[in-house]
Amino acid sequence: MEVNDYNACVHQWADGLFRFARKWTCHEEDARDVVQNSFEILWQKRREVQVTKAKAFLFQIAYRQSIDIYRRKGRVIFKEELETFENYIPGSPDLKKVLERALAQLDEQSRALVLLKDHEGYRYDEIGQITGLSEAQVKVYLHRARKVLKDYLVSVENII
Amino acid sequence: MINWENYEEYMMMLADGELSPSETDELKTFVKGNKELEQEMAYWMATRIVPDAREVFSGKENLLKKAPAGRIVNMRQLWVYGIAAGILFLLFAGLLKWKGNSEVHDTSVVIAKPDTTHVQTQASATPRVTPLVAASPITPVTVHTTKTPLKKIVAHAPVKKLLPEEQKENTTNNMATVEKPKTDAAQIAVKQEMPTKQETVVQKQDDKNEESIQHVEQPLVKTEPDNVEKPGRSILSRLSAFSYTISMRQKFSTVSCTLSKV
Repeated sequence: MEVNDYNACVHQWADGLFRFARKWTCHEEDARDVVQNSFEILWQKRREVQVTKAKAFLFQIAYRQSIDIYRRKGRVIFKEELETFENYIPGSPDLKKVLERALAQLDEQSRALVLLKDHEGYRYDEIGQITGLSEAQVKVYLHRARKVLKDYLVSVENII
Repeated sequence: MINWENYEEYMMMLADGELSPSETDELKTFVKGNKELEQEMAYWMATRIVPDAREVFSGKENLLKKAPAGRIVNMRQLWVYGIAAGILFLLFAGLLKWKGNSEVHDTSVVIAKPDTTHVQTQASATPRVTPLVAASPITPVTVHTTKTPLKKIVAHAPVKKLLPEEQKENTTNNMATVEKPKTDAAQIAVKQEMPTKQETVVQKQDDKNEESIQHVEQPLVKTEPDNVEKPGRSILSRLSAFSYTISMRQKFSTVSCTLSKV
């Protein structure tokens, strides 16, 4: 990978990587750190990474870094999300905000699977390569996560 | 085949985008007409999280890298270039050393040569030895050209054709003129042997040192046309040349000794 390829990756994947990290860590500054560290590692290993594998490489690094951040700050995030949920005003439903709250209730692995699937459109096998899971595991975990999200939406709908 | 037992799995796969168009159409056909299934399918599809395109990373400029201005050098291969440069340096240093040794050897030879060449060139350039030995008694005659004016000697050359009486007078006159700066021994030799003026000059030259000979010889070759060889004159000239060569050899030996010491 040459400099031009690296810069093209920055222009093409920085926003998606930031959104992925932002949704996962629920913290903008942590997400910025994840993006910067991911591209710094990509630059250091640019001789070893092919251009076609750059996106998967970036998300793999971001996934590992986000796991570390989530495990360090998981309880704090959960508390913040609970406070947000408590401030939720029934009667003004906003599907996007409800989904964000539902997503915050997932464990870090399920959340990563949902985000990789919905944000980036990866297939099961590609998600398995990024997360280190098998394709069957990805499918099972992803379906469990969707069921949790669906149940949450149904519950909120019932409350409303 | 979609049925009431597996329709949830198909709905989740539809939300994941993993169904083919035919499977999607089949699921829609299965759900169609059943409001509960349509509602449930809407919930499943609502679980899809759509990214917000307005949310962008604002620090891309800090992530970009500038292309190097010059040629990219692979740093991993620098050690190869270093080894190559070292080998070239050693070869060059060895070549210089070898050449230096050969030059030193040559200079030792050259030190010896210049002495010989110096002598040879001196002998060849200024006919100190060969002209005197091989040639001719002419050279001694011309010795006087420096100390005594050459014009007088040249003027006396045709005197040989004159009568003996006149010649004697002339020679005595010439001797008187010539012998003024000379030593007494030379005068005596000239008077006793009654030589020509040239012979007297040769005798006088024997008494002189080498420098006077060297100094005088050149103009003699130029000016003296007389190639007539006389026995007495040739002996004297050869003697003088012999003495000159001995002295030169001594000089050469001393010079060579000093150079060898150096």
